[in-house]
Formats: sequence, C-alpha cells, structure tokens
Amino acid sequence: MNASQSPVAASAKVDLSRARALLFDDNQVHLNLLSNVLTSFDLRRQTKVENLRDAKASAGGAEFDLVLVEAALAKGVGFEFIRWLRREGPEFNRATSVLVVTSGTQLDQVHKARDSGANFVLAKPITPPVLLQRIIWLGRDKRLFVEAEGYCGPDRRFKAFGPPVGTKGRRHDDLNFKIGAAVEPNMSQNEIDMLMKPTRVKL
Amino acid sequence: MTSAARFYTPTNRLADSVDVRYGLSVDTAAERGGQVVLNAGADMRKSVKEWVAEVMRLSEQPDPDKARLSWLANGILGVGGAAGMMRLSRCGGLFAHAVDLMGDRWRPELGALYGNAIGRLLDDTDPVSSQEGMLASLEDMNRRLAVETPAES
Repeated sequence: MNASQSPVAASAKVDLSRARALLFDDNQVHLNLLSNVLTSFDLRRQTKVENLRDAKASAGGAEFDLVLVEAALAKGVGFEFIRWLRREGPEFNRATSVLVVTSGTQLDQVHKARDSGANFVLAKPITPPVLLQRIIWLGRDKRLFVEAEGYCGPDRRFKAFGPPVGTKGRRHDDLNFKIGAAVEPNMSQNEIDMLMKPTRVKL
Repeated sequence: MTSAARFYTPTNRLADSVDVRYGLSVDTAAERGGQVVLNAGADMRKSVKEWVAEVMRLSEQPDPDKARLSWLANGILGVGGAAGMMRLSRCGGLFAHAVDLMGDRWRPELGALYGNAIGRLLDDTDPVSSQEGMLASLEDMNRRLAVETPAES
C-alpha cells in the first residue's frame, strides 16, 4: 500500500465507461462529490450506498470493478465490509479492487485498511488527479492474492526478497534456500571472457 | 509453526480500463474532474457552514454526541478540502483525530477550543500566519493528547 508503482503519464488513456463502481460512504455530500468526479472520468455505472446492509446487498447482486469505502464510518463498518467482501462476499467480487478513503494520515486507519484487505488508501481531501492516479495504479496492480487464516486480500509485500532466513517460503515462486551442488566443472576465465568478448563473424 | 496460506493471481477487472489505446487522456479526465469540483463548490461550502455551526453548538455541551462530532469533523475535512477551504479542512481532520483520541471521555475545554478554531477558520478574517499558528498549536495539543491517551490499535 505505497506509491511504488510507475508514474502515470499525462498522455496515458483510460476507458472507464464499462467499469462499475460501488461507493460506500455515510456522508451524502461526500458521496455525491465522489460520484460526480467518477462520472467525469466516464465511470457512470455506480451504486451508492450509505450503510453496511445495503453495501453487502449490492456486492452480492452485481460484479464491481472498483469499490470505494470511507474509512471513518461509525463503528468501523467500512473495514468490516472489506473483511466480509474478501472472506464471505460472492466469489465474483472477492478480489475486486478496494480503495479506502481515510481522514488523513492517521497510521492506525492505514493499518486497519491494509489489514482488512484493501488495495490502496487515499487520504482526504480527495482531488480528481489523485483519485484518477490511484484508479490507474489499481488497474496496473499485479499483486497476488493471499487467503490465510488471519488475512485475505492483496499480497501486502510490495517487494519480494524471498522468505525470511531460516524459514520455508510459502509463495509458489519462492526458491529453496539451499544451493545445490555443482553438476559441471567451473568455467575457466577464458570461457567467461569468450561470453563477453565481441567476435567477428562471417555472414 | 506456519499456518496454511493460498496465493493466487486474481482477475483484475480494472486492468482493461487503464492504459488503453482509445479513451480519455489522464489530463482531460483530471481537468473534467476539477471542473466538477469547482461547480459543486457553492453547495459544498453551504454544507460545510452548516456542519461548522453544529460543531460549535455541540462542542459547548458537557457531554456531546461524539459519534456525530466525529462525523461532522470528518465531513469538514473531506468536503471542506475539496471545496478549497484547506485550513478549515485541516482543522476538521485534527478535530476528528482529537475526538478519536479522547475515546469515551470528553474534554469540554478542548471542545471549546476546537469549536472556536473551526468558527474562526470558516470566517477566514484572521491573517494566514495567525491561522497557521493556531493549527500548529492544535497539532501540538493532539500530540500531547495522544501521549496521555494512547489510542487502541
């Protein structure tokens, strides 16, 4: 959940006209603001909800490409909704991109958003360029998904440094820590040089 | 001991909508979004003014509805900021954080301070340096509050 993605060029193009978004916020003014900004991006297929019951019902009834959730909903229902979506939500929406809108830089809210399974966090006040940038990042997101006892959501490790020393990796592409014995004799310096040296060839 | 975890590659349905050949350029989309926010400015400012009035009223009470205060402060932060009332928005964010830090308790002197600050920032008649100074002192106050009452994570 950081900004380690490639920058978005001003000439990059988006076509959100076929995408569908679910917006969950209990402040109607803010909800309408978000909705109008998304509409200006051509993302017109939207479902706006203001409570957990409606959010769950909507997520159960249609496929969404993007979910925007307000973090500061009373009693933490925004995070509850994300956890439900990731674990118990309908199969077709379990891995949907989730963007959490938080009230600034409060670290505990960012941690809660990450641990509930959100893809990204967006700090208020929202500006259209930043919202669009985050949507593009979400579209480019290639992270694996994790389903574990304590967590369901996008892989929270942005960089793969391999499994911790002394432990067995759990990713399918984690390499074995032990290095196998050589099966051929080492290359001579001359052989190595020949790999690097430009050689004239006759065509 | 390790618990079982499943890793898989999900279908990113948004992937087909970004970096497309034909569509809206990022510049154009952001410009259109900016225009939408600008057009909504008057309505947003009206809502923010109503919320500020309610915050000031509630803050004077000995035991106000903290959930409502939190909602109002959060609204001032989000909508005020979008409407270009940046310092007022910052103050809303600080107040939301302060309410959060206080938890079930309520400090009337702190409520009065925030109520006064939010009202003055809405009026916007103080010099910018004085407004910035006020925000800095509120930030300090929140830091002290965080030490007094460490928030539950």
